[in-house]
Amino acid sequence: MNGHLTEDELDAVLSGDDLVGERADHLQECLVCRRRRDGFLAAVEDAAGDDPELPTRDRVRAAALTEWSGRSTAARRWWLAAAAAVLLAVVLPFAIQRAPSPAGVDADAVLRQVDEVLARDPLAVMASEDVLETVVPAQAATTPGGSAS
Amino acid sequence: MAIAARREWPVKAEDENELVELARRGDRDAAERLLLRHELLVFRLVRNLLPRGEDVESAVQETFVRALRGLPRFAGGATFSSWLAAIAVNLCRDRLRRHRLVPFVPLEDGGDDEPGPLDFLPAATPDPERQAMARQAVGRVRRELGRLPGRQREVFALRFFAGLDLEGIAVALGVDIGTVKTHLHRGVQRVRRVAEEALP
Repeated sequence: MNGHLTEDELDAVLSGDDLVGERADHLQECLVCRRRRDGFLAAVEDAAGDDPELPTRDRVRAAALTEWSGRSTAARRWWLAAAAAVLLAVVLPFAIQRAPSPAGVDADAVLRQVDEVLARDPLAVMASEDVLETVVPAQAATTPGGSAS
Repeated sequence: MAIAARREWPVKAEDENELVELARRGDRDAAERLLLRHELLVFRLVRNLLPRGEDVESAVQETFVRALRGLPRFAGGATFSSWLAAIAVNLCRDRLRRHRLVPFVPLEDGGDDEPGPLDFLPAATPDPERQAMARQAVGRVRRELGRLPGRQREVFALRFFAGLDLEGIAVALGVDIGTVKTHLHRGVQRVRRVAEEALP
């Protein structure tokens, strides 16, 4: 088959198929077939129109990048806030449970304990035993909670 | 030989996967280099999938933002260009659906107010009649492109305007290569016939 490319062959070439053997050689050498192929490609390229000017491309790219990076920063902040909130929600109940509860202290028992100490040795809360021994030896000796006993 | 191969593409030697990984971690510079590399693909695609008068710039910007936000979901299986093209195609479909838009079909052959590439030919070009015919041919090709059914138009645009290979188109549209070939073959058949009739 030595004639020019058929319509189907030309469409196949333009659609991305490769010709083989003699047909490929023919396309390589035949000015008419090459002109048909290149004429189509040129017409399509012309129909595609001009590419945008560089300033337009720069502007669109910059706007997209700003929108993207602005949102990703905001998203990151949002995630940080959300993570902090979750952490608080999980940790706070445990922390509250472990802390001594003022309501759990028996005030009467504490007061009773204080009264007992004071009853045994009223001055014990105000001075050390050595001082008591020096200042009021007799009283310290007679006191039930004193060191002399 | 694809159309895009004849244009200048901003190719750099950087490893694209590395750029994707950096951008995924929030590196703005890497993200910018990724966009720089593929922005013409998106511009060409969007401009040819949306009707005239639609805001191409905002569609391109939205495509970029969607792509950058979706980077964590980008799997290395596809090329970044296919993935970006898929986002652009979906966005155009959304806009067409939302506004019930139909792709642009010029009423008159070559009757656009907007100057075409052939308008910038040097004044010394010898044959004005030939120029006029070429302009008409471009108008007819544009009109035929606008008339292609949705999927055919997408495949055609991905191939000739975005410069993707068949595999890339298949990935971008989520179809097999056989389907891509069928649509492309039909689209090429229609547009080529019109172009050859109109070309001087």
